[in-house]
Amino acid sequence: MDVFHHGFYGMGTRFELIIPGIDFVEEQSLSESVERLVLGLETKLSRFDSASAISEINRRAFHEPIPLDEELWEIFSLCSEYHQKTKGAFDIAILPLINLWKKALQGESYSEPPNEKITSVLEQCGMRHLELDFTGRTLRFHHPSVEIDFGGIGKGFAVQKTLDYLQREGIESAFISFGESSVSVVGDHPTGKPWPVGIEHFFDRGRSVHDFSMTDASLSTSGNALVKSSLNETPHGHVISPFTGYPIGGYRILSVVSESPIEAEALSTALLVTDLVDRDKLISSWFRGKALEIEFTLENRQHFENIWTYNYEK
Amino acid sequence: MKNNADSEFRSEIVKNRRNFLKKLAVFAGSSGVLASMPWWSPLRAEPPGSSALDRVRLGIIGVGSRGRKLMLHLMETPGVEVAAVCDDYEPHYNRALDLTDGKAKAFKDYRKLLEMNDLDGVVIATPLFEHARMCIDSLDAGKHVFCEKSLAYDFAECANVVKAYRKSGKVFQIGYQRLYSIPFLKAKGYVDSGTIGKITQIRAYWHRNNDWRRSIPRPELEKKINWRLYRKYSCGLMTELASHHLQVVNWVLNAHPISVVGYGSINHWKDGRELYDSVNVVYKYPEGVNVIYDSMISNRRYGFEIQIMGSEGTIEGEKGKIYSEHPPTPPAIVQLINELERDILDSVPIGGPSWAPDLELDYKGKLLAPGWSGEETAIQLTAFAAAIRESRPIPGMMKHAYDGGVAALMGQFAMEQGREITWPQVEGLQI
Repeated sequence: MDVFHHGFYGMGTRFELIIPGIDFVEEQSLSESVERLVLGLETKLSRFDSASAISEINRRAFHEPIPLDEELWEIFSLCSEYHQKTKGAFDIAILPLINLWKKALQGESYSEPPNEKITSVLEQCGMRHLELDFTGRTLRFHHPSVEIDFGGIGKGFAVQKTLDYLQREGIESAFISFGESSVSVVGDHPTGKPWPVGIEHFFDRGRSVHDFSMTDASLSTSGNALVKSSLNETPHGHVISPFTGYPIGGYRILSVVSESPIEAEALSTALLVTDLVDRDKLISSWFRGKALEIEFTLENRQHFENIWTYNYEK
Repeated sequence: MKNNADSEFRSEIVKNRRNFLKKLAVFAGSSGVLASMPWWSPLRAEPPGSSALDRVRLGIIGVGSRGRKLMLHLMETPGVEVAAVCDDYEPHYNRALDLTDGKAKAFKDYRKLLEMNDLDGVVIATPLFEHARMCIDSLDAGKHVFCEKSLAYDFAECANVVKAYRKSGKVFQIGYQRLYSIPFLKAKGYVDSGTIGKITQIRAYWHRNNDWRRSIPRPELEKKINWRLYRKYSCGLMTELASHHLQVVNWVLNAHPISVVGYGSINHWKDGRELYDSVNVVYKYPEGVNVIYDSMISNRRYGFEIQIMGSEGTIEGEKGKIYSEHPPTPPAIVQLINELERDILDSVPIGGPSWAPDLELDYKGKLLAPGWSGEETAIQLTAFAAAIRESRPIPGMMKHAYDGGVAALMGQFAMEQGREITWPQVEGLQI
């Protein structure tokens, strides 16, 4: 079978699109459209681009209400929805806190910020300082330190837009990986069975710890482990709890499978910072999907995995 | 006269430059550099001492804006003495003499300067139409020659300079600074190692937005000062700007152009000038590679760049960046594609925390030479002085001078004559 593959850089990582068994000429323009769509969203949502809509919001929203276009309204409404549903565990406005830890843990002077500092920064950030005006469709910050970072949902949003586009184009089977943390499948595997999508073992690379069977579904994985992108060990992916202001401990990853890539991405972070005992209560009434947490430990050069699974399927 | 603080400042610069040259000598001595850039070989020498024996005595012919810059560089180059200056334009003549505190001998006729027996070499920075005559006279007079680009005014003149050089056995250096640029050296390395795949096209451009005109004190000096605008003295954008990039193309592709077509026009600065303010040319190189070049002086949005495009990546020489066509494919995706192609259903172990490129720069192009601060002119002049000290010609240099110079002229001729111009075959010419 012919398999079309198109990979490109976007949102600070790599986007991989695989479409089995369709005409090559058609695929080329299709993949160009997907790339344009994703990079267009990046231009809008990236806080690293000073000309982006989000950078403008971060600069101005404390001083005046900022009108949101349809796309921005959609993403802010979704963020607000998941912030409420997860009782504050999902939060796009804790950037000052993330930056505090990033600065403290970078370089040679590796040391925790003082507790008072964490408490004061924690008070200055969070989505409770955001005001969405549902009639005028505007956004306003109520604290000058607040900054928005879509790192916990932007990829899911871009994948959702890609899935919508592929559906309009009549694509019946496809596989998308956005930075490996957001994986979505369209339809079934060409063999007619669900796509078997595995979670990669953190120490034993290339081995799947757990397989999900997926049809028209999205998988998102969050982790606080250090990701090695090559021989350079790049510290990446500290997850900070918006409740305590501290990073979560251990080598842990949390995966969520949902119909929606946005929901999967919002929940994978939210559940990771929610206590084990509170998770069921938090999501059982409204979430329809699967979740999985793996804690990796390394002792005497032996690795162990503790796995918790949650199943809330219809 | 300069004050003491100024001369102390200058000696500090020379000292720093000496340290810089020591590092450069180590770098130039590495085998990889010399294999692909033999013209770096004079730089292997230890920086010169301060004795008179180590000193190279140079004369500058033409001290207009470029000549003055070269002169300032040379005054900071260890082991170089600017012993003579020459210009037939009074204000430049005076300015140059002043710069040397009156120590240099000053001339209005370069032939008088060439009569100086204690002069090792000359630096020629005059309008294009004078290059060939001055180079040939200098070489015939036994002087080593540094000539600004482009080599000469027509094909025959280019060939005549080569012949005079061959006969003289002297050092010849041309003002193509990119030959001494670390980012371009790295770019050449990436091309040769196949990192960006097979080179399929090169696109280069140089855009400015000004009339390219200098103010003139008296109307009768128009052509003398604004020689770049008149056909009798110059070939305009092709020899003044394009020549640099064409040299890089020749180097990267290890070839000279086969032929060229193009159109040029004066579409904006209609002020009586004769040379195009807009040029568009396409060069044909071996193996089906076309080189697209354009230059204009009525819009500067895109600045200047040379884009070397291959099947696996792209190099932007001026920005000094390399881009991959695709991010590295995750192993699980490679496995998935293989299995899909063979109708196999198996688990794809892909899920995990987000992947990030090694360096943020990989993502939006990776710098070829981080920290490079553009020292190529200084390095080039140092190489010239070192080659004179060794009294050994700079390998590969004349070929770049000739190939780049001829390529630039071909473009101009193609536009003027409205036809395809092919590479001139000169019988018996040995470069």
